[in-house]
Order: sequence, then structure tokens, then C-alpha cells
Amino acid sequence: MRALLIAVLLAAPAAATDGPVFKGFGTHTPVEYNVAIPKGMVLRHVYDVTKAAPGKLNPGFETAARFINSHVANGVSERDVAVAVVVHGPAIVELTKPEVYAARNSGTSNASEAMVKEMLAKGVRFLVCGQAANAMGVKKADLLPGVELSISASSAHAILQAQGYTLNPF
Amino acid sequence: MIRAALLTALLLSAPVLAQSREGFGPGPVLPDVGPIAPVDSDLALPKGTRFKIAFDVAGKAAPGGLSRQIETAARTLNMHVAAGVPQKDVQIVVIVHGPGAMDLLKPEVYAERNEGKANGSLDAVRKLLGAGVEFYLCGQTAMGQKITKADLIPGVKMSLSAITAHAVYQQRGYTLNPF
Repeated sequence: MRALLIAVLLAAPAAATDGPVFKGFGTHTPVEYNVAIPKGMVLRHVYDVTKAAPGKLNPGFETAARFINSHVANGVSERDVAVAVVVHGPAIVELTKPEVYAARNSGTSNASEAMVKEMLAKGVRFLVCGQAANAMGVKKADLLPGVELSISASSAHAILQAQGYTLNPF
Repeated sequence: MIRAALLTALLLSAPVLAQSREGFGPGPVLPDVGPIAPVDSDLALPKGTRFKIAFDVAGKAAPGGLSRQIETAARTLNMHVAAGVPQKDVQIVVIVHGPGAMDLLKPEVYAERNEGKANGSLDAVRKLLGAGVEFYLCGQTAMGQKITKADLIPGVKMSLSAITAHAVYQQRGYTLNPF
């Protein structure tokens, strides 16, 4: 019996912590970490997302929210965590207005919309590849307010990195 | 009649022409490689913006086809010049390793390794080289795939490894394109 309990405890993932910036998504686990974050350090980080996730929270977007939650939870000031998400490929539709999304997805709603809006409201930047948008027939007016359009994803990455954003490698 | 059919077949089998994709047109630097779409961009390019971009290419094209990633490098050059950045301020290096090495081979070497097919990326690589884009092949990959310098399209260079080339170019201020 006790062996079973231990096995269950060992197998269970550590409890996810909600917030402090976003609640209900971007959860993180407490870590006894060794990599110090020097006081006053500003973290500018950029993600690259292409895959859509119909019917669920887009994990690429959610990772960016997790980055903010986990750092603010560990003492970094919210204004010192700047996150950008460069989006190309199918994931672009998850940044479109509800009516545009529905028209492209047999009337279904965008499961990531509320999360994206909250992230935008907290200053997360979403930059859409203009080349991919054009190929997919997505126009600027189709995008959720606050989502930015760039010449291309390559262009956005080059500009953000030149501005000091580090590139997330996965 | 035969000629018309042949022409149609040729057109259909030709690599995607710059004009053929709706909304995309030829770019100003390489009109027949890397077609571009006009964008009402929100991301400003302040005057004096200089691009130094490293592309990492590991995948290869289907035999006889054009490498999608090499085409992306061409599109990057085309669209930034179209957006008003002087061509000399768009510096691109393409760092190739793994299966991607195939698309940098000379016609005869490529054909030998691909059942006589022509290298569908040859024209794009030559034009990019001509426009000042640099290509490096990972020396470790080359060794592994028994590729010598003489097997490469003239102008393609070799580095100790792809890792070395990425490290050196990032130290020189190049940003890394993640796809």
C-alpha cells in the first residue's frame, strides 16, 4: 500500500502553480534553481510559432505566458520581462478575429482567443509574418486588434534580435 | 499541338514561377527566385536599419526540386530591398549541414547522387552567390557524406563545422533565423 503511494507520488508531476500574471494558462512548477537572475536584469525573449492547435490553447503561445508567469513568480518585475511571439504558418489563424476564425474553421471558435487577448493586454507582442498571411489570404483587418504585421517572420526575428531579444531555441 | 503540349508540360514542371502564387510577385534583387508579397507592415524599419541574418539549413529539397529554405533566403533579400533597405545592408549567410548539403553540389556530382536528376536549387544558389549571399557547408557533414570542396557549386565555402560558422557569424552581429 505504502509502495503504491510512493509510486504514485514519484510518477505525479509536481503541482502546477497558477499566476501571478496569467491565471488559468501558462502554469509553472516551483523550482529550486541554481541559475541566478541578477537583480535588475531585463529579459527580452522571442518565440517562433508555426503550428495551429485547433480546439485547445496553442502551446506555443502558452509557453510565452509561462515564461512571464514563472519569472514574475520568481521575483523578476513584470515590466522587466518582455516577450514577443513571431507567428507564421497555420498558427496565424489563431490570431484572427472571431468571425474570421469561424469562417475558416467551419463555424468553430478559437480556443486561444481569450488567452491571446489577455497576453496582448499584458504587453506580449504577437508579430505575424506578412508573407505567410498573404499566402493564406489573411489581411491586416482580419487580425485581432493589437496583433502586429511584419514584412516577414525572418524580418521580425532579425529586428527583435537586433533589439536585444534572445531567441528561444525550441 | 505537340509543341503546345510540351510547353504546357514544361510550364507545369517548372519550379514555381515568381508570378504564379496569388498575391506574390517578383522581387527587385532576384526576380525569378523568392517571390514576395507586399505587406502593410506595423514593424518599422528605421532609416539605417541593417540586416545581418544567418539561416540554418539542414533539410534538402526533393530530388530535382528547389530547396524551400534557400528560397526563403532569396525572399528575405528581395523583400527587404523592396521595403527600401539598400541591398548592401541586407547581408545573408546560409549555413548548411546534414542532408541539406546535397543542394550545394555541382550539377554532375548532384546527378550522380540523384539518379541523373538536375539540382533544382543550382540556379537559386548561383544567383544568391552573385548577389553577395554567402553559403557555408559544415565540414563535418562534408566528411560524413564524402563531399569535397571540388564537389561544391563554385563560390560555396566550407567551415570547420556548422556550429563554428553559427558561432562566428553571431559574434559578428548576425541574428539567427529560427526556421
